[in-house]
Amino acid sequence: MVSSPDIPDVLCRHQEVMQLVSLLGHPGESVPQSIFLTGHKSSGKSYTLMKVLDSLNIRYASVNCVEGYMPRLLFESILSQIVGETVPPSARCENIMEFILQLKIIADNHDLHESVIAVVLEGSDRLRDMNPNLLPALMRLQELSCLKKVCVILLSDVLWDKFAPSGGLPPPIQIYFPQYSQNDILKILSLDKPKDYPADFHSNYLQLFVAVFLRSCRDITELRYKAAENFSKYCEPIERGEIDINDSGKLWKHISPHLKASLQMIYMRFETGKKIATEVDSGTSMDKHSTLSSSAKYALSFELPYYAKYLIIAAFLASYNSPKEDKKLFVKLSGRNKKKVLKKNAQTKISSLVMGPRQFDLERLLAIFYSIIEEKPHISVNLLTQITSLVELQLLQKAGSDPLEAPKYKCAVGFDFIIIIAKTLSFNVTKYLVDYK
Amino acid sequence: MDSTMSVSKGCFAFKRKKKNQGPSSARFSGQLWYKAYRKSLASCEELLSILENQIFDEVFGGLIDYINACTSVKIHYEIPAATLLTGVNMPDHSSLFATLSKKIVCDCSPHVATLWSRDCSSLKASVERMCSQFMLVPSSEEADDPSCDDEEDGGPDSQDKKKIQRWNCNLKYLVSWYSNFQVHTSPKKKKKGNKAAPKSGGDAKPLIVILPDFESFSPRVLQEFILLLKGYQPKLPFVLVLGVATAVSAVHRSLPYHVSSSLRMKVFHSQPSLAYLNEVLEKVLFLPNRPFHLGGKTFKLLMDVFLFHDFSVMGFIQGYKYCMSQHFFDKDWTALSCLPEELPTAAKQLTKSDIESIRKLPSVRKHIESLSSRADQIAWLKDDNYVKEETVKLLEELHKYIAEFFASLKCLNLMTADLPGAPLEKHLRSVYVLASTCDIVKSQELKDSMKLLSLLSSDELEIKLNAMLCILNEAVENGAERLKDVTNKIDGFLPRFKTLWLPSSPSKSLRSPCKRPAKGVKSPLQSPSKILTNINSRSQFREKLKEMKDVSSYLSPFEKLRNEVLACLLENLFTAFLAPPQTKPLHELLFFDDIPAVKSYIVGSQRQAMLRGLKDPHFYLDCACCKLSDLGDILPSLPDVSIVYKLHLESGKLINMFDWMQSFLTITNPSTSFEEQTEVDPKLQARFTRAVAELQFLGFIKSSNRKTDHVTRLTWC
Ligand SMILES: Nc1ncnc2c1ncn2[C@@H]1O[C@H](COP(=O)(O)OP(=O)(O)OP(=O)(O)O)[C@@H](O)[C@H]1O
Ligand SMILES: [Mg+2]
Repeated sequence: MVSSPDIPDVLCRHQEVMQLVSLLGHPGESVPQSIFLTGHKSSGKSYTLMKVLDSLNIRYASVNCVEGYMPRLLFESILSQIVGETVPPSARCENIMEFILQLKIIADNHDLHESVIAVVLEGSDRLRDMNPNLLPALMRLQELSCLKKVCVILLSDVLWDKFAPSGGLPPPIQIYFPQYSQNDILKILSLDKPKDYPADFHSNYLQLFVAVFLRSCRDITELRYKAAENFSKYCEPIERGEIDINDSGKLWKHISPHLKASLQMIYMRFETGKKIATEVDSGTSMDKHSTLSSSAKYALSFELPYYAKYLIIAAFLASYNSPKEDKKLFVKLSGRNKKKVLKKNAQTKISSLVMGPRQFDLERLLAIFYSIIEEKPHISVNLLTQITSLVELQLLQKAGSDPLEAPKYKCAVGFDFIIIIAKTLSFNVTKYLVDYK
Repeated sequence: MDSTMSVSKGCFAFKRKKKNQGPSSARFSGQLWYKAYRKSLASCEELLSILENQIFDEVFGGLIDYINACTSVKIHYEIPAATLLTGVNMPDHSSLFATLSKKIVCDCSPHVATLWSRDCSSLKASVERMCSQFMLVPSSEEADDPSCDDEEDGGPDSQDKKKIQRWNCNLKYLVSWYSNFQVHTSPKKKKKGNKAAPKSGGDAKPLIVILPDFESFSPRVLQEFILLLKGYQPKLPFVLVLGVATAVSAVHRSLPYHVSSSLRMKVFHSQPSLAYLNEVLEKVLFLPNRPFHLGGKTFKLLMDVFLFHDFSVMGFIQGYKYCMSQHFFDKDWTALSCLPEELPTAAKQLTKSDIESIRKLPSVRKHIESLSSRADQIAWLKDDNYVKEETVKLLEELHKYIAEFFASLKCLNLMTADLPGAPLEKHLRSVYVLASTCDIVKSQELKDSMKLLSLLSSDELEIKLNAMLCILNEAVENGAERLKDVTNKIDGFLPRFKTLWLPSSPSKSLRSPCKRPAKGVKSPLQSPSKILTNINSRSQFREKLKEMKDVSSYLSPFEKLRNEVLACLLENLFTAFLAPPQTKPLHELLFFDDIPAVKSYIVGSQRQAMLRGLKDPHFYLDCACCKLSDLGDILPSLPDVSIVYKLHLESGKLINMFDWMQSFLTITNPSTSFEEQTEVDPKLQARFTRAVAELQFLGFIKSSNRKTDHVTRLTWC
């Protein structure tokens, strides 16, 4: 082609850009019905595509399929973007047929038969869960609407093989966005270089940063955020004049604990500023508990009412002991029986702690509750609402949705959590666990 | 009974004929007890609301500032999410968040939507809920009218719906609505200036979405919802407020990383509900000048519900109010439960029968018996006016006693709260339970604490005495004159602490006072072995020991002072003023301690209610036909389930269905002969079958595999 359009410059995505340009960038030729862009989250799919579409001056509509909880919203949004108006269209567009019809009318009115129209569907994996006709229809929009220049571009982080519905669809043109390599990441991150520091100083920092973070995270968005957050800390001693800008050894010593702490908090964003100080505080106070698992820390972080604690322990026991053992465990046992339990214990091959929680019904929960608690509170409304509260707190899980049937529950917290709770009651849980060695 | 004869299963509501005419305030409004009750309730509610505002202000202050800050700086790409850790006292949360939402409307932005998880089972429902709440915001003209925003929490279902249709409840429409709203209001707001928070200037007001019960949202809905909001963040400045009951990590548990990284969180802590309750106790319940107090047992019941069950301050306050209404209900003489200055007028209004009820009060009877002069006794029994005068006097006395009681209780708590092992409980509330149920001065706990107190160091003692003085002085100012004595005495002790360590102290002995005399071992002047050498017999030894004890009981000046102080406190403060309320005449008027009357209402028990309904349907149905003289009786007019239930009580572990039905038939249809009814009326059989099915549904029987035509009985009483 003679009239080669100006090619946008996207770092490390040259090949993908070229592919897109060759598919869409030649006004005289036909465009594919649909293009499927796939790759991990934050691998630059949307970013690259938008750059390309912008530089090619293509009329496009971009919608996120989360909004497709009502397909109508998707359709109306696409239409209004194509027309270029901001207010929602007055015409209603309930289903794909109406959508196609309206698309044609718009194309007639705005004389769009000859220019490329791209319909970009972000997060298109959600389309699979909607009306089964929707995805196939959208993928053949060009054919159905008789508009030769309409192209549907699907973006997803699922591969086509997994994406395609079981009925099968003719595979569209696919463009795969591979994960960025370490060098790519360094290049992209160095785009954010602050003005007042020299480039190699920043890239030195990025080397350190990437060395720490890359093993646990390749998400560009997150890395950019974390890099910026830690860079200001990196520069602090320089601004205070404590460390020379060229003394990379000292700088490393200074930043490495910060980086490690920041790695702990990956994907969690807390307000910076004053908060950071308290965050660090809690970090140091947590050091004492650093041997504890995260669920144990969770258990320590809030207080439950007295009976609720026993209820959650009872739920745990009900979940991890089989109902057959109940009688042995909870009916006051004689010495000989105890031995039997222990013997059996040795025989069980897979610990039920590994198997995950079992379901149990309310009656069993209450029976165990009454056998492990010394005082016998009578079953009152207050006690039963505690169970609901525990479900609301997601410490218990309700199984089965039939409102008429007796409810069944599952314990949603682990052994570490229970151990902590039991400790506050000075109650020995392990005594009641068949599989605990 | 007839009205329940319906073919379909259903629930029938029976209204009580007499009592349930609805306790409409109009019916009671003229009555004495009702007026007294209203007054008492109103004063209590006023105190509570002041306290509530104060506490909520503390909690919300930071949050509101944060929201305002979010609007002024908008560089971030994430959605700001203020996370409020609320604690596990779920029942309190609805009022907490209702207040929060009102406060935000006042201080930050008129756009507030509260989404409860129960309304948000799907993304569609959540978005619709949110948008409808936003767009219902009164337009600029009405914005100043506070009455408008009440409708929001009730559910803008019926009449308001016409303003915006469900159809338009989506984010796209919200965008255009929002831009219109900005255009319309911003110039006006600027002119008004003063009311709209000046910090945010002419900025666009944020859209605040409150999710009060974060944990109960389905994670899937939540993820999509947040992603959706994030997509619109550039056009609509959302701010989330997440109410998290447990811990921040709950947020990260239910959200995958690409969602959690789109929230910019800031954590706020609300006050633990226990601290809140302590405030309520201190600032409302334990105030001396109140016409209504909870007795020790009832108080303990409410406390137990709080501590063991739900940590709900709301529940506690409801229980308290319920007790109050029970105290007053339908008893005109409770008009005397009022403040001391209103007593004379209240007494004047009492009728003859009220006076009679007062005479019948157990504490009054005891009082009459204890009177020494016969004439007084007769006057109490005969002369109504005399009774009125005396009750007023006694009640005034009782009010004084209460003021003294609480002041001394606080002093006692102050002394003993931080003792090692806290033999006398740490918290004022538990001390109150002790002191108002038994004679605390004679209790072992107090004795133990006194022993520990006699080891206090001088600094500690001095600090405690000073704090005590504050409490006592305040009480004296409020009219507890009899405390004046002790106060003066304690005041007298304090200067002596100062002189204690002066070098010129006359009691300069071998053992110069050390800083911590408590630890100073009383070393005998002679070494024990020396004395023991010239002892021959056991009795001699004993005498010697006694002597040694006398010698060793030589005390340093501080120890002397300490003993003096403690003895004075014990005698003049604790013994004098901490007698339990039951010992006072007319205590029934100011202390409510009738547990049986309220227990079943405060601690509801559904199984008991069910059994009662089956055994004695009259209790709930209140119909003439079901009145039972003996609970074992079975009348044909009882509901079928009740008959079947009562019959099943007579059987063993297995119940033969046929026999059961025969007995059912003999009761419901006594006219037919007692011979085996081979031809059963199908209508009766159907009734029987239905009753059995109901009983099974209630969990009393289940079908048995052991024998055909038998069911297993599951309960025994
Ligand atoms: N090659 C690149 N050059 C510069 N910036 C990039 C590049 N790749 C990604 N980014 C940055 O990373 C961010 C995330 O990329 P983008 O949103 O395109 O990812 P995505 O693949 O669409 O993710 P998702 O699957 O979550 O939608 C973009 O905002 C962009 O700034
Ligand atoms: Mg994308």
